[in-house]
Amino acid sequence: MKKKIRLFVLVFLIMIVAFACYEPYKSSGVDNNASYLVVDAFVNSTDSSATVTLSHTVPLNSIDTISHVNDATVKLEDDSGTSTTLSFTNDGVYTVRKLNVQLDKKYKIVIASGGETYESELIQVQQTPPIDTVSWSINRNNLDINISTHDPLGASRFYRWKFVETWQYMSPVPTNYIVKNDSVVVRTKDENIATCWRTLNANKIILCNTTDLTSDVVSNFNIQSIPSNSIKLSTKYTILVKQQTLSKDAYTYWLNIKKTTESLGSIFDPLPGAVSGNIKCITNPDERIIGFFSAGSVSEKRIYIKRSDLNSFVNYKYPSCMTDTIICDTAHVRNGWYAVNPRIHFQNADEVVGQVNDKSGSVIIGYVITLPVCTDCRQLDEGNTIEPAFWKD
Amino acid sequence: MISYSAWAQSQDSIYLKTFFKQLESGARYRVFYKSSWIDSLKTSVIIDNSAIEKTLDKALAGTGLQYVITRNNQIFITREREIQTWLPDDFFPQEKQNNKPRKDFDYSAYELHSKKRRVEEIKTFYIGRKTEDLSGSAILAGNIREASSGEPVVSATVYNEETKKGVFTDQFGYYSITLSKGKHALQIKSVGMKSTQRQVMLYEDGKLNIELDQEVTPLKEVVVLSGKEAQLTSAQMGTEKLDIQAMKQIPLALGETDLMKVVLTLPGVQTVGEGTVGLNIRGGATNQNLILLNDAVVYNPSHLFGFFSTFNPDVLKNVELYKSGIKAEYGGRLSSVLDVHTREGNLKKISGSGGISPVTGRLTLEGPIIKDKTSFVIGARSTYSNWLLTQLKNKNLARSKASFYDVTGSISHKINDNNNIYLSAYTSSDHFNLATDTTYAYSDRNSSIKWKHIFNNKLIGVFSSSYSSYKNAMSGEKNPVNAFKMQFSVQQWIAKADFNYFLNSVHTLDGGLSSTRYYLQPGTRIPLGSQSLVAKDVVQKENGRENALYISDNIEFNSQFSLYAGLRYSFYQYLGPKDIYSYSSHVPDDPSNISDTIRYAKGKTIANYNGGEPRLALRYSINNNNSIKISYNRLRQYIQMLSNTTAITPTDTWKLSDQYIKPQVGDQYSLGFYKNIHAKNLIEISLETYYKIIPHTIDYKDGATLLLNHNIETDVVAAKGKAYGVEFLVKKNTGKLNGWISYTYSRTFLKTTGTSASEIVNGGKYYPSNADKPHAFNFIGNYKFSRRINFSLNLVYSTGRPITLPIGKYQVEGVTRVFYSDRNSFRIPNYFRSDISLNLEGNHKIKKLAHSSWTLAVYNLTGRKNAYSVFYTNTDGQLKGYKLSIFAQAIPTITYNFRF
Repeated sequence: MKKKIRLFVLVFLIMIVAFACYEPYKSSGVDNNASYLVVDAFVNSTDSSATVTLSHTVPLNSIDTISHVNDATVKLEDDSGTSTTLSFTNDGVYTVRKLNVQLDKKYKIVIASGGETYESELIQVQQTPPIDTVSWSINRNNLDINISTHDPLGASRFYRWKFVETWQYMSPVPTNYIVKNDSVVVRTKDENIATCWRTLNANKIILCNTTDLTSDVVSNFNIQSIPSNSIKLSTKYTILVKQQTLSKDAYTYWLNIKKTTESLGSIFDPLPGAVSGNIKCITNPDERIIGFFSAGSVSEKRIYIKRSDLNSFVNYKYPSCMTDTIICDTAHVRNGWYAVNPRIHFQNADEVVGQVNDKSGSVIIGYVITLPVCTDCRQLDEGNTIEPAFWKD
Repeated sequence: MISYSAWAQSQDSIYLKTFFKQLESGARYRVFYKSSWIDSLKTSVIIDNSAIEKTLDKALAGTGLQYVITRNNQIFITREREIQTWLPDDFFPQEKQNNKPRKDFDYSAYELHSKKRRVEEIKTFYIGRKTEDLSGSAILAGNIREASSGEPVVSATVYNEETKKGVFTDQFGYYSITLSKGKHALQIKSVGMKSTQRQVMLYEDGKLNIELDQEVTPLKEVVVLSGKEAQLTSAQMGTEKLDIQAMKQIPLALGETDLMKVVLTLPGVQTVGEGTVGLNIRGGATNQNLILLNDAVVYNPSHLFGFFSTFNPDVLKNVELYKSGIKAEYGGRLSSVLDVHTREGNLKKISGSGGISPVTGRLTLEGPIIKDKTSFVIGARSTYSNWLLTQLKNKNLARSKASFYDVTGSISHKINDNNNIYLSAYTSSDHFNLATDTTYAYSDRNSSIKWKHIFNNKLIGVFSSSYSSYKNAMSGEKNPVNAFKMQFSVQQWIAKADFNYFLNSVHTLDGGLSSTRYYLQPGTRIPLGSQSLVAKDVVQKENGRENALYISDNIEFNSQFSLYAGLRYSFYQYLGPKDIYSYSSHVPDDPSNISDTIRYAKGKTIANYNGGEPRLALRYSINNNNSIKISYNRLRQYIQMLSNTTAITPTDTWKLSDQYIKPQVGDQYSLGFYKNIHAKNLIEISLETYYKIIPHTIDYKDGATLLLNHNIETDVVAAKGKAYGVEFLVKKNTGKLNGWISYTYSRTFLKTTGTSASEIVNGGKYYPSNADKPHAFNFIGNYKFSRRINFSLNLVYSTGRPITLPIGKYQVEGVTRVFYSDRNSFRIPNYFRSDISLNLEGNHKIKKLAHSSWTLAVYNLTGRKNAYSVFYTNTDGQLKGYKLSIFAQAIPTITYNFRF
């Protein structure tokens, strides 16, 4: 009977799983010369700044991932006609600081680029309630980061979050030694390669709305999941969550961007569509533009998670590292070993991770060595050894 | 049948009653008669010594009465026809069976039976009262039944060679043919049945019931289409009639005969992808097909994401697909009518059938409730996938659930020769959860009752009522704060009366009226559990009424010309109670522009639409083997599906036409050429072309919200559509090798007609609709190696469907994203698939406990990875193009089928 069950299970599995398949696909017949303006504009009333990022779309087969627009004129205008010019900083980014953002005013941006003029709709400044909690929970093999917030006024309803993750991690074989001029000395703090930090921005659009609820409450909404075997959890992890209230239009726009670019193609997915935002080309109405302009306050919250908080959940496996013990040229003397020449055995790439003492414990007769990839945390993940300014131990 | 008015004889005559008494007084004869027949009749004939026959002939002349004298000197007086003193051949059929114990090779029974059949074929049947006057014509009507089960034979042809006149039996097995009075030979043919013939001497209108024997080969699926005459003599075009035997030969995925998948092999029928059930017929949308099961509407004919259709193959009788030339009796959907009928059940004995495939099991039982009068058939089908899923080791998959079942049943009761009652009920249910938080469920239910009354040979009436209900639900319970349940339902009641009047040999009139009530619950969302903060949200209910009248005339001018002319007129009302929003911008563009709310009371008309739907079809036969047909029809549709995916999915809802969303209207013109080639076996060739205009249909804005939208009119854009195409079909129905080849070239386009920017798609220009697949090729071939081994091959090719593709990339939030082209300006790769199946029958003994067969089939033999869709997704911050294939390799299945 058991065998029969297995056979049926196999047949069913084959049907559901194996018969459906995803394969890489290359489209043909796409005009690769078309290029469209992409705008991401935001007025931050919390730090009184405005940031506009401009780029052009690039062909799908292009090696470049982005084509910055660095020669545009960008202005911020309010409904009373006051105009502020944003200054170009770098890579298609135009900014202005120390703005006097007024909640009762409406704002728009005006862009002049490539002989065309683009203008956004006039929009209101959205107020964002504070984040109540950023919490974590264990969900099978993932650590979920969840967020809760509420707006007692019930005016927010549409939320978007961005986050920045930073994690501290160690090299597989941390060392306090360094070889300088063929001699082994203790590393200074500046020479630390055992502890690294890596910072990464969220690479997804996180949205949630509470229009379906009787009160404007977001309860433990999952914004990030970290697998238990991720290096992020190997030592200490922090996440800074930024919350922003959106207008309904902005929400719809970001949802469309998310829907059409993050997951599509399953049986029940909707057809992708052209996403149109609140920015139009006023000199050429037929030109297609991608972009949205929003304004509002931003609230933030950061939490830290130590490996010890997670008990045995963390399952990160360091790459296996071989160590080798080398004994210096020695001469046997009556009461023990005596090092004659401690220098010549180090290859260029060798890293010293420990010392071998003689029986007395006072004489170094050899060293434990390993490969640099094992001692240098910068080679394990793409972090660096500079402790971030905000970091709390 | 026909009553005669009595007339009085001359003065000195005596009443017939007295006359008969005088006869009896001689003690030689005893006369039997019905006194009501002779009450007022008189005779002047005097009983003398002349032969009794002579006396009676004289006495009864002109009275319409007949007599017969038995050997015992009994005289039976009858009206209209004389009593035959010999017994009809099938007078004691049961006794024959009872007297003879069953044996495997009962030659005597077989010979008796075939002798009886031979006698029936040679003998002349006298219809009506003998007369000398053979001028004019008369109508012959009757039922054609399958001899062993008593089930009516649908779409059998009754054909008269000399006049080239032929008719089909209707869905009740009833036929009615007008012929000139006199002697005729009729040929009777039907799929899977032995052809037979009858010699009739037609004096007057009358009845002739005919029994057909099944082709005595276990491989009864030899397709003998109901006569070569079908295609050439009917004015209808764009119509495909398929019966279950023909469907059973086509190799299919997952080992089950699937009506919807068979229909897909016909020219002009497309689907958006594998694993979906929605049909796109001649460029129409999936919701523009009227799917009827025993006259009740079916809303979602799919199980398990469309891998199966909900029609149980064992209870099906036949299906008719109308792509054009849609008769006036049908209405309500734009593109096509798929009319599915279930069998009525064996009238003679209890029998059953079933099948077991790797995923499903099915069982059907049928038999008489009252022998030869009342029969039932009930079939059930279910899957054991839920149980299978729990056996899986993979936790995620084991948490998945997928189950479905369907039950179809019907009861037919023959009250008498002129009255039949049919009851039918159907339910299908689906439930699944793909290891996610959300559970989907949907169910389709319907039932119908039908009374068929034959008023007389010329007039038949069918009175029916049906109820359909479709519900779907979605629920999520993982997070107690957000636990919810969302539901949608639509209910439909139809009452109608259809009449069929055979006026004379030229005109056959159809007419009728129907009334449909729609009740929709467009969406409710309720919180689940006490912790849930989900707000209860109920979209206002919708009510509608659609009444229709129709009349049509099928005119056979002569053997060359025939015309079908019909007119349907439909009246639609969108009814209260409902609160209706007005918009300040005069167009329903955004909920923020609502300026006023008007409350309509219950039953009050909010909006109404009406319009005529003319249907015309003309046939011209060039000669015996060639004909040309043209047709025009207009249809109106008052209910539409809201879906922003291309297929039918469990979350689709429906919407009635209201004051903002106008009814959909479609016109179709078609022209066809038909040719029969008489080689060793008949080959049918047809070429049909069509042009369709849809002045009003709907499409959606980008990012439209369709669920629980209280202002759905703000997310819908008005559009118009056009479609055209050519369909070419070559069909060989008989011989060792049979099957068909079809090629279709077709295009279909949409164009938005809105004015504001958000209502315009692709700059207001025509763009290909989702069903636009220009080239389609199908091959279905069957080869009979022997009586027990049958091999089938199926080839399918089509152009890939249109798709919106990325044409550039850009970065937002540090992630590369794609920029999409205009809607539907690219295509997915072309589709090709080949399937084979091998059918092995058990031994040939006609009488044994159970007949069984094995079907071995391979779906997608070449394992081609046909694209269902193409999409670009962000994997680890990188943009990658993928194509999704549903059946990406060869799928072998084995099915065991049995019947008893």
